[in-house]
Amino acid sequence: MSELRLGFPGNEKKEDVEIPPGTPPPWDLSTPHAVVGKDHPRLDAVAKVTGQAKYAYDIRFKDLIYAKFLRSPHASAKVKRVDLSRAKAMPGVVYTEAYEGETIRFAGQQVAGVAAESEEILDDALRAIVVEYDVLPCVTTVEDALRDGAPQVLADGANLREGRPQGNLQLVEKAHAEADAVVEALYRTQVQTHSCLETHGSVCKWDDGKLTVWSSTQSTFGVRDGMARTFGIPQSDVTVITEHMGGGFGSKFGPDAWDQFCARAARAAKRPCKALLDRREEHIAGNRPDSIQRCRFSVKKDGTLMGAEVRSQGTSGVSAGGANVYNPGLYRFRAAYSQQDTVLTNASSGRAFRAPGHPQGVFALEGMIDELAEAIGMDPLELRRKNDPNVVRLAEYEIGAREIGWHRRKKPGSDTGPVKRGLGMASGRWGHNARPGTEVRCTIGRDGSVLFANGSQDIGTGTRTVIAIVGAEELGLKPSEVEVRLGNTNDPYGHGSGGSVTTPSIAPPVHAAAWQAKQELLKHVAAAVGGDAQKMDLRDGKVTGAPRELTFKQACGTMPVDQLTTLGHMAQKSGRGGGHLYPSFNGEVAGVQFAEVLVDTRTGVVRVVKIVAVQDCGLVIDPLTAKSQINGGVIQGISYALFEERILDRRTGDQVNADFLGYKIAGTLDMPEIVSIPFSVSQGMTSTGASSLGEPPTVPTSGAIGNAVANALGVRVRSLPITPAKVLAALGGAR
Amino acid sequence: MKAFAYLTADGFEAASRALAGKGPRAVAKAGGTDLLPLLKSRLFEPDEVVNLQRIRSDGRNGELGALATLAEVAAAAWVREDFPAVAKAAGEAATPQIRNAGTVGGNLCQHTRCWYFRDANYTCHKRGTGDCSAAPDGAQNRYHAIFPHKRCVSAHPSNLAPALIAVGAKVICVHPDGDRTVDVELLYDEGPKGRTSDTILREGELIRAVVLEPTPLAKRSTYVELRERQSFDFALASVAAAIELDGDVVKDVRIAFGGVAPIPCRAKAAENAIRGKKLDVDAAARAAVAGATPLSDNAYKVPVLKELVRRALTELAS
Repeated sequence: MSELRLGFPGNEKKEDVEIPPGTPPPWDLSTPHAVVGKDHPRLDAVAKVTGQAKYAYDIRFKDLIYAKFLRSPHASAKVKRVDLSRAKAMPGVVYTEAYEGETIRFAGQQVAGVAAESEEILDDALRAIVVEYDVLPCVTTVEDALRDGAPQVLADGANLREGRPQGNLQLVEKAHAEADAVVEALYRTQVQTHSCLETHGSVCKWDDGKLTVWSSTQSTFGVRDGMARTFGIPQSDVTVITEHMGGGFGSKFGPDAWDQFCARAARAAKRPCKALLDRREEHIAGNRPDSIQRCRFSVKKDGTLMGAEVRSQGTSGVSAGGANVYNPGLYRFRAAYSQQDTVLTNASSGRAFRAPGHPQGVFALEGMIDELAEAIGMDPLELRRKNDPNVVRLAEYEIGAREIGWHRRKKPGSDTGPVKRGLGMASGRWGHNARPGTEVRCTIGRDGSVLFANGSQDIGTGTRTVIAIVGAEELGLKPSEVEVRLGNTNDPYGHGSGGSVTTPSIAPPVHAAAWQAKQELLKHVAAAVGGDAQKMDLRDGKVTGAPRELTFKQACGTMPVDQLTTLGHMAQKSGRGGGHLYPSFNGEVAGVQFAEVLVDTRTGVVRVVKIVAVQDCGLVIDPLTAKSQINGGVIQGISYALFEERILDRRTGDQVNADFLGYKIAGTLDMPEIVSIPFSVSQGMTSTGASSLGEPPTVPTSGAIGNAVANALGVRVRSLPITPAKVLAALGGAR
Repeated sequence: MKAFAYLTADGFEAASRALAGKGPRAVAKAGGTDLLPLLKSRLFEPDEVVNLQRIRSDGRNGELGALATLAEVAAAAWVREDFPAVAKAAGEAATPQIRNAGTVGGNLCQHTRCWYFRDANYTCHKRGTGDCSAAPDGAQNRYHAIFPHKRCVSAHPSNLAPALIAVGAKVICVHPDGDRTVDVELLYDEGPKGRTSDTILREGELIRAVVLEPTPLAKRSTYVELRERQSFDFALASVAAAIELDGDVVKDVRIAFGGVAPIPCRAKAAENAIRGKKLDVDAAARAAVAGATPLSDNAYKVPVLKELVRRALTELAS
């Protein structure tokens, strides 16, 4: 039995644990780390900023061909006829497909595909295709889709797909009855598109029946397996390469239709083929569904949260599910009830998007908490403290409140105008998504070189750097002294980057592989120079506990073989069901954010002045890249709160702002001071205790901004994005 | 984009000759920040693109060469000193990258950003393919005009035009049939069906330079705009104003708007409300929006425009 010290200074919990043989001793609060927890610049930073890093978009071959779909301008139609004859007759057109007879359900759905020898020929050929449509009426909004006689989007049922009620409505009614204040309000959030800087797609190349795909993906193995299934070939005949990728946010778990088309064109033409979406297509490839959340919450005068009742409806376009929101949640309610419906519309399908359901749910939930606080005249932070069960968040509140200067918060609307200052806050949670299955190979050469290899991708969170730090820690080296290879499915398996699993799932296998390699290396050292391998360790580039001093390199020189190789994995509990090896300190990842805004009451413009984000992610491996991740989440959250919105023409269902001009993403001048504070918690679960960070930091931002705007104005904008038009409307329009 | 011949002109006269009589088959390119997206989207499919960027500016006193970049205009000491509205308008446009590439002539002649104009799948009065798509029910028109014209409700995107109108600038135009000088105020009109441009320039006619004449009015001028987003956004509305005060009485005033009508326009009602009287910014603001007829989604622009008028005049009064 060993003792594991979990938690954080000031809130520690000791657990007695069994360390299974062959697995590394787990890290906890008492572990003296040499490189973990220290700032390390991203290993591939220079390659990225100098353009040396190669993305799928950059892959070129002499005989490359280009593939693209022709897409329907109509949101609802039957494809009667597709005439490819003029396109086929064009010199340089090498492959075509037509999808005659298909039912078009959203604007942008493919009706034909062409591959050609140049992008210019491709463009001409697509324009030479003649399509005859039977255009049908379409619906683009939740409200329209629910009207009597609205066109039915899918043949298999009504547009309203009711969710199963959760909780007990009677108990909620009873709680409301016992409460001192009941608040009812309707919140709305918009459709947000992923807007990945590198669009989706791939370059496909066949050699002797084997397929290589350079893919812009967040799941190399998902693309491999999907392609193998599509073409009926063994997984081993598909190699997917993603050395670098330019953003996914949940949208790139391919292979998508265009990837499969690209591979078909490449096979037919016997030439490598490139299909990366243009910006318009990227906007249509997926999105965060919108929501209308009808909320009825209640509270007692003493701040006890009573009932929470939510009916939400949102559209995931032509997907019959996926518009759920995280509301209610976070806090202890006496009773809670929700029903979450998905409403079908003639719009492109929703897709997983950075904490699916959470930013939209938390915007409404945290708005309601502030409304309750106002109803009983209590400070909203105090109300949260009273009802928040999470000890990590309780500690984070103190840090965040101090950093933003919460004492400066005035009564709503009481700041003198015309530009009013407001403070607001919101919280978020996420799961500990350390998943078993990822494997990492460690190879140590007799020359002292060290390589960690894994076939999954770095979605941009700094996975390479994390692997180097964890591996270097165990081997007593500097992160710059180890090589990391990522993004080739011929290397060991790694999960797709979804659910913020990557760091928590890859750090333990790196730890295990390095630890096993160390044990083997030290055995060779003991055999060569004597001493007890069990008492030796690797520290600061040297072997400790050996009869004579050896550097790491000299130690490697004692190996009787050219290299040693280990394969690390995340150890699970033995027996049925498995589960994490070690207990978890608490059940979730916790984060809080505070926002300070200035709202111009004459023009309606909201400027975010400062965001403080305190975010737990278990063990912080690299504070520098962790902060970068938090910054990114906050930036995306600000953009969601104030600017981004997919705008569909209500007659055609076509996205009128499918570019980066009308689809507004926050830019440098819109950025506030962002104070990102990674909150390290010895979380347990695995040998490293690292947890999820990719998604959580974008969850509370819009809620915190919404509350800050309400604090500034004294009236609330319950709809995202918070535009000048909405602020002015909330203030009662023109002076 | 469609393949085209690329000609480089060495002077405005040569460029104008190369363009004249060819209609949409030939287009001029200066900075290219407006033209390239139009070519890529195939809204424009010219056979010839005439590059103006090699033309040497003769840099006469009191003139802004048409090929001067917005960044150069914003930085020019004489412009800042005697025509502050113009320097401010140029300095607030778009992004540093676009200000470094975009030119004076290009800014004045740019096409509307109306998303229905820019998508060939919609009918458009300007493109001559049918009625305006931005006005009817179901249209998305939050960024459109609150002083719409009968057949077009787009909002004019130029920053520079209202500023130049406010300071009384003129443009010198080059054409094979003869050069002319036109007040910037008169450069724009509601075009006939199918004219994509918002200016009265004839086919092949090019702006060679903007003439700025120093006046007390121009010296006391400013430009304010409101953007949803601070980085790279077209103004929801913009106001340029120039004023000459005699004590606290308005001796003369010129006010112009951008982003609220299909063309940049002089706000004569607002001017008349205060000319010859004690400066009353609220009176000017009220008069400025008196004729506004917002569309379904852009009524918010009315209070925004009023506020910008107030701000511009308040700044000039102090």
